[in-house]
Amino acid sequence: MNYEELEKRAVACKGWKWMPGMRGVRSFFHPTLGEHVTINVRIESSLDVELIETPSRSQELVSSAHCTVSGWTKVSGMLPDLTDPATMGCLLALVREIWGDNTASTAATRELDKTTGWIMDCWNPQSPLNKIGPFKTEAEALVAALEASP
Amino acid sequence: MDSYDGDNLLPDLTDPATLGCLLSLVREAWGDDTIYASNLKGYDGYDWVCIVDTGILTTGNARAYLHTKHGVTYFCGLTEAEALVAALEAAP
Repeated sequence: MNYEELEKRAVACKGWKWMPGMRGVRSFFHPTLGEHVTINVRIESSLDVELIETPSRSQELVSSAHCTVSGWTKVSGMLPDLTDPATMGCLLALVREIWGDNTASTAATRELDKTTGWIMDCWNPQSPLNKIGPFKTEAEALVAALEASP
Repeated sequence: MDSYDGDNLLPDLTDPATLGCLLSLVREAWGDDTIYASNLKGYDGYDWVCIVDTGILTTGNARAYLHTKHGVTYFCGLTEAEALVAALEAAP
């Protein structure tokens, strides 16, 4: 599974929300410029974002990027960057919050075919969290945990 | 940024994004993307461990880590952040 598909699955979860520190990427067609543009933002708080990277005519694009913001729960077309360490840390915090389990974490496993797998791991052996995985990537394990949240 | 005094800047280790970056830093320092932190309540008096395959070190560089078994070392802490910092401090 590629990262874009995984990122779309993450924002589709009912428990999804943007958290301070997450990096978001939004690609969209800008009618004035007549081209596709990509904006990278870092969520600073529930209301503010820091623009990391924009094309040159940024002001106009910023207003466009904000036009469909609704409490930073869902932002049209914006996806979390699951290759970004800070975003991954926030995603883990979100999983812990939704499952109500601060001991939840990801864990690397050595699979029978000698590849590395990623599972969810928590202190309570009875928790369904411990049955999630293995997956090829750490991000996939976290998104699966988000999707399976009670 | 020329006048900015970064010496007094400390990471907020209660912040989820910072913890994610700290884990990434530990992985980078050890050169191992499979390092992770796990909650093992009560392990040798600690709650959290950062699990590192220290067996990858050559004999010449190997150190006597406290909690090493079969080449895997548990860097311990009362918190997740403390375990990660212990692993960062011990990085070769």
